[in-house]
Amino acid sequence: MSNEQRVSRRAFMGRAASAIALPTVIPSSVLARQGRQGANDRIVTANIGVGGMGTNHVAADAAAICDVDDNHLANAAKRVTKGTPFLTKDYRHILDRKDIDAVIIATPDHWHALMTVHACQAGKHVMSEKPTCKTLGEGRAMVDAARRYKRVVQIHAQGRSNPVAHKACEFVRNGNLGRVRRVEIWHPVNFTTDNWGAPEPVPPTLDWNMWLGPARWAEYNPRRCHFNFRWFMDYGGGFIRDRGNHALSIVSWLMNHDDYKGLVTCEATGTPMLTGFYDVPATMEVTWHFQDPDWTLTWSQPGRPNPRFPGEWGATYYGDRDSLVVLGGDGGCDTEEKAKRYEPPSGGVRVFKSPGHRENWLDCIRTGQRPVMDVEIGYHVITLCILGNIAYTLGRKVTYDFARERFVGDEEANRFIHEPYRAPWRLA
Amino acid sequence: MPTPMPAILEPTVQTLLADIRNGDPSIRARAVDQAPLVGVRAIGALAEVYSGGDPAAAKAAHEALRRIAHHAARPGAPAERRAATKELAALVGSRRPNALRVDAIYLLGFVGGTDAVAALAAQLSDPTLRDHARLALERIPDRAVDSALAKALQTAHPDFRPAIEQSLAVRRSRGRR
Repeated sequence: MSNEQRVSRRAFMGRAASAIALPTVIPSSVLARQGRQGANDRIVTANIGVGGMGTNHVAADAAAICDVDDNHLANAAKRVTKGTPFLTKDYRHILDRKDIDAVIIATPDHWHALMTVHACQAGKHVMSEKPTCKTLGEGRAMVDAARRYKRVVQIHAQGRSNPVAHKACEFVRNGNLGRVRRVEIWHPVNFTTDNWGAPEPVPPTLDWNMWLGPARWAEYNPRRCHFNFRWFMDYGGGFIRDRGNHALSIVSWLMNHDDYKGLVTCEATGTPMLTGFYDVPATMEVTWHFQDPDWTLTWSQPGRPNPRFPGEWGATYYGDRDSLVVLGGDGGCDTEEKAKRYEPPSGGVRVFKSPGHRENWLDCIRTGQRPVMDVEIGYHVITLCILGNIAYTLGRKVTYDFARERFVGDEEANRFIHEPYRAPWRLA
Repeated sequence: MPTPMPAILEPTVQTLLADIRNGDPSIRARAVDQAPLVGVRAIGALAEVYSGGDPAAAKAAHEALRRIAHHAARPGAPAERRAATKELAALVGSRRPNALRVDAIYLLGFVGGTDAVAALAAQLSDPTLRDHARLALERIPDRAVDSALAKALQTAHPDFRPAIEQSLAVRRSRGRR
């Protein structure tokens, strides 16, 4: 197979009427105010990427499902009990459909930004799985697309909708720890393999060229694909960009740090993965330091669970009066009793409580408000994860300016901001 | 970055290669960590190991190459960056295995400047390497890249022209921002 994508860019948003038979359906948004659903309107959703986590996102009434693997498609279709979903291997066929209001993206990570931008261009609201994106340039493009096309884009770092995490957030935000100067995250190491990546035949059920999409060409090996993509810098970037998106989302939330526009320094060390063809580090230690206010965040992989409240992964918040442990930060989250029992006093800080991550997203589509894990927050959070990988790769401390969205005094580091895409894939 | 050592203890190209080939993963890992101390002069020798038949040694050589190249491109070390570019460009144009040449092309996208453009542009007519070379060129913030891509467009295979046009368009749109 050629190492260049064969599907023409012109195909997107223009050719569906002749290429595929589409049902004539009145879009639900037509029935409400332009660009926004009415309070009682059904929001028609479709799923893009339905292997692994994506399977859980398929609703009983999903109108369409896309996956580059026939097996994923068939499994996901069984979850639809109301109607017969439109099935496709090319997400652009879903974006071309006028009857779909919103899409849920749960593909491998290197697709998240491109699909989100294209979905916004096509007028669809988006909920995209974490991590928000692979590169800093992609994050900026996602935010710009959401704002330009006035779409609701929620990142599925669902810890922001977790009621226990919410308790921890109000506990910390109301000053119960005093001034927090250090947060330490611990997490298990990245996965390993003894497979050296020799090319294997592509299964007939899989469109490998489409799986790679914008990523540079690589020969197929099952250990590169489905789930295992996490252990390659070209796709997943290791746990720091995967669960790290969850963990750092909770930290940013509790520290009220989503709007930080100052400088951050980032240092990272790690053990190279010398067995097998995965290329993320086996272990990783990352330190970020923020200014005004000064505080330090660390990621230890492996790290030592806090013996006071141990768990597989989590963070300890060290204030000048007390400390708090918060475990997890995705769908599962736990914290110490003092935070779980806490109720803010009258006049204390109250943090918006999400009714559930999907519910919050759908509510915001109806109201036009920003969701609890809006794409701009998602971009802010994933920036820290991406900085960790860049600092590790470069082997030196980097300084990043959140306001200018550039590295300071490091021309090579700035070359990581954008990742060139295989043709015909373009962000804009 | 590894901690500098007293001169007598600093790894040499020979000790680096011996450790990279060592069967003990902890010795290999230490060698990778210390590779930047040996620096650009080890690139050619590491390419030999990379091209050998031992996948574990080749992987360690790959990691060592990567670390040497990025270390050489650190701020304030223009002579090292130029030396690394020269060594990587030589690998790109060599008859080494394609996997090594692809890695060298990828690293040149980060390390290289004007001095990397000719070596990368020369690969734009190679069906197996041309897209890797295009991606590396797109990343280099130097006007010489635009000229090289425009020139390649005149003679490129029709299948490959849209890719070159895309790189030119992406670079134009970034230049406007």
